[in-house]
Amino acid sequence: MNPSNDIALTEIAKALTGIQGFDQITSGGIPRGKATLVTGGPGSGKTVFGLQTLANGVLLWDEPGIFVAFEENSQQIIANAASFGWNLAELKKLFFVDAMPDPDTIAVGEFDFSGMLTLLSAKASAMKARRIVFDSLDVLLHLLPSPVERRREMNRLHNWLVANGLTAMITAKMDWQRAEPVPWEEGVLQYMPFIVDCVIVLSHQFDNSFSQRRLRILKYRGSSFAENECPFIIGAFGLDVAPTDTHVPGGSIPTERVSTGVEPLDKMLGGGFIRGATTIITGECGTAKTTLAGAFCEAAGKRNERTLYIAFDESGEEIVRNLRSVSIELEVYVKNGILFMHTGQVGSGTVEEHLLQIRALVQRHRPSCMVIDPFSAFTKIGNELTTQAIAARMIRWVKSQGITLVCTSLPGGADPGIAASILKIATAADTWLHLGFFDGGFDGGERNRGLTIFKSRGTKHSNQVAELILSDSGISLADPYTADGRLLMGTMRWQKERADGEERARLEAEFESKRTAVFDEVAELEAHLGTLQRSLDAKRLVLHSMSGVEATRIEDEEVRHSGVIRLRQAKESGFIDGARPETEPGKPAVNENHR
Amino acid sequence: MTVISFILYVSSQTPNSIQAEANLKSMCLSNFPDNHRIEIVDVAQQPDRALADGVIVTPTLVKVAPGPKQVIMGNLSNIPRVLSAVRWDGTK
Repeated sequence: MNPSNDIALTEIAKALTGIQGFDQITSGGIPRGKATLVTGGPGSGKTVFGLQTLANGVLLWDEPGIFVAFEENSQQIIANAASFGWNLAELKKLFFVDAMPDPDTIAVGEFDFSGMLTLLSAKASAMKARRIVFDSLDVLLHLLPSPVERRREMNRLHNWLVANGLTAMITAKMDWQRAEPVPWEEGVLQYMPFIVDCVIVLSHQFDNSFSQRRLRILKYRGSSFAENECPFIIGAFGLDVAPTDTHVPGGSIPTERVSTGVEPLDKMLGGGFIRGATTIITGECGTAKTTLAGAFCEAAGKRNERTLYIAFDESGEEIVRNLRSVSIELEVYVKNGILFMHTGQVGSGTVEEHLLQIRALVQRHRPSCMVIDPFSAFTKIGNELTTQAIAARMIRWVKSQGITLVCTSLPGGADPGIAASILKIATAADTWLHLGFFDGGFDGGERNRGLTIFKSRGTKHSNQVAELILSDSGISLADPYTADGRLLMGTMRWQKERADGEERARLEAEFESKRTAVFDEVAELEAHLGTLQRSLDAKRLVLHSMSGVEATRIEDEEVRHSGVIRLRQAKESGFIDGARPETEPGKPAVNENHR
Repeated sequence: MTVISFILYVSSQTPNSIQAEANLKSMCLSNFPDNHRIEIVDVAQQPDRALADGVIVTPTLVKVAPGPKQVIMGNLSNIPRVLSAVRWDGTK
């Protein structure tokens, strides 16, 4: 036995069932070495549940198992199991006990199950069985005529289970919803929950004529469990349970960017979508949602990343063909297996079935990028509330797988149901791009596509609406033209741009002529300035030479004066002062004369 | 003379099995003292045989001959009912 099969942390030991989703909601499967009761109406999947648990036990964990068939013979069971791809006849460690009561059997006097339990003990120890399934208990209890005997035999079964320590699963046909239990059910309802450690309720209902299978854990002794009802399907590989809460593992949050396939959009989003994030693209019919999704796939193909495209409105082939007209080539990636186009049928099956099918596709194709086009297809199916919840759960699940997801969706518009669903999805998404027809639609006799980033978590993004242009050469985004607080696109933008261009040219010409005039004036003034400068220089020169002559004259005069002073021995200053009163105005010559 | 033959599957030492064996023997002795055959199979001793014969409860009586196979569950406390079930009119 593989020890990893036993999950015994603080909780009781458990045995994995290998059933997709079930082991998650029970954190490890059914109680090991104890009994589990699986109840439900006819056709609710009890037998498949038991069979799958046994087959997985043998195949995955090498635990031999015994299937005690009260309801069908083993040939029928093996034949039915083959439709799930299980070749049970080849499993040597899986033993079937045909215990269908003979319809002609009569009862005379009391009897009990001790013989059967005795021989099962013998068989179990001979083949070292670890798991056993009784399918179904009600057939056995039907044989017993009185409630007293039923209770006695259930106790016998209980004691046997405790003594043998097998991981047991007992199925029982019963309806917990029914107000008045039928007599044999009474005993089961009263005593079985005490005998077993875990009770699972399977139900199969119809909501708006859509089939809805649900699984609920009524009790689980010694263990915590998900208490909510979980949708499940019986698909191509048996039971597949959709856990209501998918745990998104923690750890590093990616910051890597993946290209949207449209370069300007990458720029608007600060480098592209965040790896592993979910993007929703909303928009009316024909706003190029599929085209954007296709561009994303092409970019992924170029990076050699596995991609899954789930198409609902058109077939995958049509999408590949149509996108070629805008130079998005997907065919090469479809051919080399990088891109897998899956065409979903909205008309068939429940949302759960679709989502579980998508999950199966993801597990088979192992994509790192994924497109669901359109996600709003799910809103057409079944009950609105469950649809919303499941859709949001789907996004969480895809995210938990680290897949970069792009969903397209109609905006909902007048339908409040769809609008609410979309809002719910958009809330769960990381990035929300909206494509719309702008400028009143027909203002310029045309409709132009505009792209807005409504939200983008963890990303600096542009608030600007951009015009989305589809052409033979692909997708491009044009900065829209804003004028007088209005956004202009397409021809309107072109016209406005052209008109504005003409105006600009006129203004430029006007300015140029003004500039020329001023230039001329400046030149003229500069010329004038030059002339003036020259005459100024000349005058300065004259002035300078004049000062030189005067200085010589004064010098000569001083020499002459000093000679006279020496001769007369007179006070030189008084004489000089008197001679040059203008150079020393504070000293009038008269003062000297009075001395 | 036609021989009536039975297989009785029992679980050893359980009250119902002990009773059934006693009831069967007494019925045979009083109704077909010279032309009956009884085989007792203890499921604990021969589990594979019991499994192959599809025994669910013990005791289980199987009339294997003459005529069609007939299965009777229980401790055979009501002998007239057993006789009518095996369609034996008591004639020899």
